[in-house]
Amino acid sequence: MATEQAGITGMQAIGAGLAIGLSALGTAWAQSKIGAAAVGAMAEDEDLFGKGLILTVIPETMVIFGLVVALIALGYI
Amino acid sequence: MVQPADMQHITITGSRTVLDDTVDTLHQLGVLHIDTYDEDHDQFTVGTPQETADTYAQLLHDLRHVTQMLPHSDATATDTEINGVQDVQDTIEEVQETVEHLRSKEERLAKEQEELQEQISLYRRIAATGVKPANIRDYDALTTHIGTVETLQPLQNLPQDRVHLNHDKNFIVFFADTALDTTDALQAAGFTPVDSTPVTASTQSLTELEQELQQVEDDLADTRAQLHAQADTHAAFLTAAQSWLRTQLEKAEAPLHFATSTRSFTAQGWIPADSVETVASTFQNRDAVHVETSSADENPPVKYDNADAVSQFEPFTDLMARPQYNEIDPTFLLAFTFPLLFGFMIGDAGYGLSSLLVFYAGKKQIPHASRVFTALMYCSAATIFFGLIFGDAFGYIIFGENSILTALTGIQLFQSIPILFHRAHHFTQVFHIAAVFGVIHVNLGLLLGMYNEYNRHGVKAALLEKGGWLLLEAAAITWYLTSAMYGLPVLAAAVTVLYLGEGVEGVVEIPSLLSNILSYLRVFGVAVAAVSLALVVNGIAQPLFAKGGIGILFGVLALLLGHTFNTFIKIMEGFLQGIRLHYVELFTKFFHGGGTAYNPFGSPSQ
Repeated sequence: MATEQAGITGMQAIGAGLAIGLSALGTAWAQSKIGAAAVGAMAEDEDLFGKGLILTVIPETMVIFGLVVALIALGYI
Repeated sequence: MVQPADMQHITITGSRTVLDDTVDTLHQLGVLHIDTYDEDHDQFTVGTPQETADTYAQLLHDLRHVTQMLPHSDATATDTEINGVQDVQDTIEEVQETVEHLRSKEERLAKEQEELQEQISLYRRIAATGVKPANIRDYDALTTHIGTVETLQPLQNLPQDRVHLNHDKNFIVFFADTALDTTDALQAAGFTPVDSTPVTASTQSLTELEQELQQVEDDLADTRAQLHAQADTHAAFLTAAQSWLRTQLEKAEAPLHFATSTRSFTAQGWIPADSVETVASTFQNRDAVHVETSSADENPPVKYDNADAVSQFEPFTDLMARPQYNEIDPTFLLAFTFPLLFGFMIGDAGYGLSSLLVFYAGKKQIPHASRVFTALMYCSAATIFFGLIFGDAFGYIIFGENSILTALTGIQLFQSIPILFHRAHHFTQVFHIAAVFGVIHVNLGLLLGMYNEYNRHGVKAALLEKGGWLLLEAAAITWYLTSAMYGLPVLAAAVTVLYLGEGVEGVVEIPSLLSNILSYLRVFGVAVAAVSLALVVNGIAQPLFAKGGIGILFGVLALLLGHTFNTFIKIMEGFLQGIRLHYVELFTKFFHGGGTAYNPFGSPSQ
């Protein structure tokens, strides 16, 4: 019984780690491309900072949902 | 406070005889944001600059040329009196002449120095092979080869008494009989010739050359010192003259914004509504000029109207965009919630103190950005406040149970001061507070957005565009509290209102509401990271202290380095995440921006 419980806890931890890790990778990949383009646009026109920032953080949703899944897997939510 | 300052459109009309006088007065008042005249009606054309404009522009150009030629001076500029354009012109000419003379002398000396250095280095290389540099001449029967070689093997066949190598065996001086064909051997050895004219052309010895170099270097240092002296002497004047010339040029070019006819001129622009009295009374008793209020089609420029404390946060709003004239100025909200977020995320009295010092230093070093640093100092104050509430200072618990101050000093008072909770032991509570703050913040944004829409397009648009989101939240709460039976109809209503108000994009963006609220969990993340970082540094120092003796010194060192490093990380994190939450999660709910900045004629140029 104890080993089964340990197995479940281990799987939970692995699941949570994968959830947050992989979604963070995806978000980072997306945001890096958008961020580079935003900085390029800002070099031409300083006023684009606001729009550039918002566009850059749009993919943030993915990692937040990953965090939620991780917390659910660990049993906090 | 909540909306930008009220603006009033005015028109100034007058006879051209008083044009200069009017421009001077307007510049002095410094409140008129001029609407540039750009149409050509029948008799009204765009005005021409005053004749003096050319002189001022030319003088500015000369001044910049002179300033560029001078080295940077650290002399502080005291207030210098400018006595008119002739005085400025004379001084600039005089300084220009001296500086140009000194600069050309400097260039010449530098070139001489370089040549001499090359010569001396070649002399030394030749001397290293054992050959006297005086023996390098143009001979009739001999060809002199001087240069670098790579391998020595192919040179074995050449007459060895004529081949001179240096100690490292990579530099050769070879006196070849002109009749002898040596090209193959030299090529095989990887010979690269070096330009020997500095040696063959001169008759000086090495010592003479070195003396000459020393002389040139002394002269060069002297000339450079003279340039620095010039820079120091004239620094104050040059700075004062530059700003004076800029002001004069601005005034001389002002008529470019006016509409003029043969004998009259008209200027239109915006002034703050509370300056109307001042402007009217200034122009009241003048004969040939008349000021009156008028109306205009375009939107007025936007001037912030905030209390002193709130106005320090205006650069943050400006970084996003200047608010439009008819929408809410979000600076007051930023000034309230940004320090709260910053303080909560760091929540440590010690780091609050150290970040306060950092921001104060920044304010002194960069006076240009003093408002930003003042705003950040408010955030530090909030951090100290939260630190005291949580009983944390540099990661050590100072108030409440297990207070380290009580352990050190024995004063029971520290242990009994009430605190909210120890963050290190109550992460779940931090989590909940972050989520609740997110809900409140986002809803504040939606409510402000509703108010903006109501101002712009009326009640129906306000309810349709922003009401849909609120209805969506109500649906979620109903579903959660009761059951699907009651939740579903509310949800259907919410989706319908969203579709009516914002179209398909509104419906597609429904998950974004959840993600925006959850985004505030980064507050929890940063708080956890902050607490952990401080604990790590303390954990490193703890065993060092326990060792005693020299360990205490190392412990203090570790604490200093660790907490300084932590301070900067926390400043960066707190600021970035806090401002990001405002810009992306809060501002997108109601802020449009894009207003024209208020830039009055006669204000100091920024």
